[in-house]
Amino acid sequence: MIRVAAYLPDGRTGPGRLAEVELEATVTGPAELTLPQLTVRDERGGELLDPTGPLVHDPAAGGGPLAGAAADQQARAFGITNTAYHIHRALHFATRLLGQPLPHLLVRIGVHNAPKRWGGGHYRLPGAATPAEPYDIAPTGEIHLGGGRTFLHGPAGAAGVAGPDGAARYFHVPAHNASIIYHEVGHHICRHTADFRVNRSRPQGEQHNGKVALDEGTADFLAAVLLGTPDIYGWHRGHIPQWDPRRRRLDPRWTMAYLRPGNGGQAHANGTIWASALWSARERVLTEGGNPDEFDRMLLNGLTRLGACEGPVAEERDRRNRFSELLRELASADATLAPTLLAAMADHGILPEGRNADLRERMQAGTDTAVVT
Amino acid sequence: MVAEVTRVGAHERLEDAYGRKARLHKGDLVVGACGNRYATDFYEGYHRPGPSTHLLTAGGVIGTAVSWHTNCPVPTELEVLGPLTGEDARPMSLEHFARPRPPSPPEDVVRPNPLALAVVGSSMNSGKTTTAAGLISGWARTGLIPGAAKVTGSGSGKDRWTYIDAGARHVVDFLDFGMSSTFGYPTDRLLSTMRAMRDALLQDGANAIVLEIADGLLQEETRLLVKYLPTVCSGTVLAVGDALAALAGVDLLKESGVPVVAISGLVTASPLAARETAAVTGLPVLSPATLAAGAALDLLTDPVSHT
Repeated sequence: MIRVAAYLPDGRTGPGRLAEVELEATVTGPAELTLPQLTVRDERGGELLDPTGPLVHDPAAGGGPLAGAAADQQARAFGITNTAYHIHRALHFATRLLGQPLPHLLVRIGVHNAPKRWGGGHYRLPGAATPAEPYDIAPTGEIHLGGGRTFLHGPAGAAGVAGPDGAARYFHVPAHNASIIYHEVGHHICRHTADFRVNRSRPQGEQHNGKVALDEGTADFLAAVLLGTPDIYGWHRGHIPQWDPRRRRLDPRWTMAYLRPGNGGQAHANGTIWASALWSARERVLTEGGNPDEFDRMLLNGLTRLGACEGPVAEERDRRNRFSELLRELASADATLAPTLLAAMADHGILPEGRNADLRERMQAGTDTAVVT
Repeated sequence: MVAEVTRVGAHERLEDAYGRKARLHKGDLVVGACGNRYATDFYEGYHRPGPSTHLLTAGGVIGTAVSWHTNCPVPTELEVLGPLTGEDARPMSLEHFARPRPPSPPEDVVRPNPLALAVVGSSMNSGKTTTAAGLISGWARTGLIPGAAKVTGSGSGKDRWTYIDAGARHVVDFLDFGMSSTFGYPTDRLLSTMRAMRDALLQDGANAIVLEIADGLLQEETRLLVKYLPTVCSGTVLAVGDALAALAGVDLLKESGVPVVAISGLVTASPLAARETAAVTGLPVLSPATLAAGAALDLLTDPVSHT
């Protein structure tokens, strides 16, 4: 066991509570940490981790290009341990509920960072991707995290370096942000359960890297569960109003009436509808005295059921893209929770029958969106 | 100065007090400021007292053009009516409206170096302002507070609007410090103004600053000013149109002890020319779009690593 530093979710807007935790980890390189189910590596290199000592590094307000080399090294080392902690926690959560481990996950930090900067994350499988990947992607999937590109400004006392005016400034690096890490692990869970793109039927090197709304929404919901808040991205998107779809806060307002048709990159916004409906259903289960684990297990089993059918690829892709299909699988996965689930989903316009466009039309016909918004 | 348009030439429009370019007609009365112009792609012009003169910029610099680029139409002609006077009947001057220079810090106060870069170019129209806008946009998108200064040039709103459109929170130029055009001013005045511009932007609240110096490195005032750049900023981005200009420009700047952190400008429009430039200079060649996408932030790091 190695003692490492990490931010623990505290349900508040911010990076979380800084703490020391024990990880069953091994330093496998100067900037690489390996656990039984995962490997985290900072691809920018450097001697970041000391294999002989504890790995309790300072977040250094995210480091970054303006922080100086020493602070940036600290922040990058912290990014490795923080990422490892959260990936481990998410995989342990999934393993416990699924009853079996997911395939090994490789996380690369600091990629796609030159000459432009990148402040996001993505989940990649071997196959075409934009931007093109300079690596041979592991067949079981990889998470890539950028090196950061923006400063977050918080009030005095918030995480970060205090400026002349007392306000705090933090260089936002994805490896310090549990919400981004959890969201990307969510895609790994989806890939090895629902497999929305039917990649198991494709050649290993020609996997589809696109994400459908159910994939994005499920990843957001899992992030919310692991963070303990529906305002998943409140830390780095706190400047975006809560009613703005870009905030991606899980909220009862997001119904199928807001579904944006087509494949025009609306998967995240459309996914918020699914994630919000799941969150509403989970909250209702909890209010009725239910067990959160039961709900989360129902979701993972439902995802597995959705991905278990082996029909023609085109038909399966279409089927697995439908909100109603996944809802039916969830309801079938736990008959006890099904009534509560179906009622909460119906409030968001998600019904167990119909194509996505049908659900949207039905919801729009009965909704005055101006009032809801 | 107040003048009447006697013939509409190259400048068919003149900026009003809000920056809108108003169309000119023969017989219009206009107000401008006397000054010179040094523009290799446009006019060489000087303030020369006399009854007839020219409109040298769309911003209202008035002087007499003595030479111009072959692609440039003849200048708009003006008849001088007289000076614009104030309530005291004395001729008005931009100097009367100049911004007070920020106070100098006490000698014993050690201030951290501000995050400031200069943009210089191999020539007029080499992409300096677009490069500066790329830096501003990149910094603004990272959450920094960009400030921009046009250190030299001839009075016109174009660059100021470009900076603001890119995301500059604070902008100053030589007009704010009493000069309609910097061509012909003594170096001491320009140098002290350059420092004052940087300090004014800091005072206004900017925390990432770009200082754009007009024209090419061989222009007299530019050549003199760049020697002092290490005293006001941490590095320089050189805007050029081709690899040969980049090589010559980097050599000139190195001779002056100026750290060059990157090459940008028109040369980045051609991937082939950009590769050629990177090969001969050994410097990163970054398009304005790349700067805006985040590369601008990395240029603010320790300049030692770039020299």
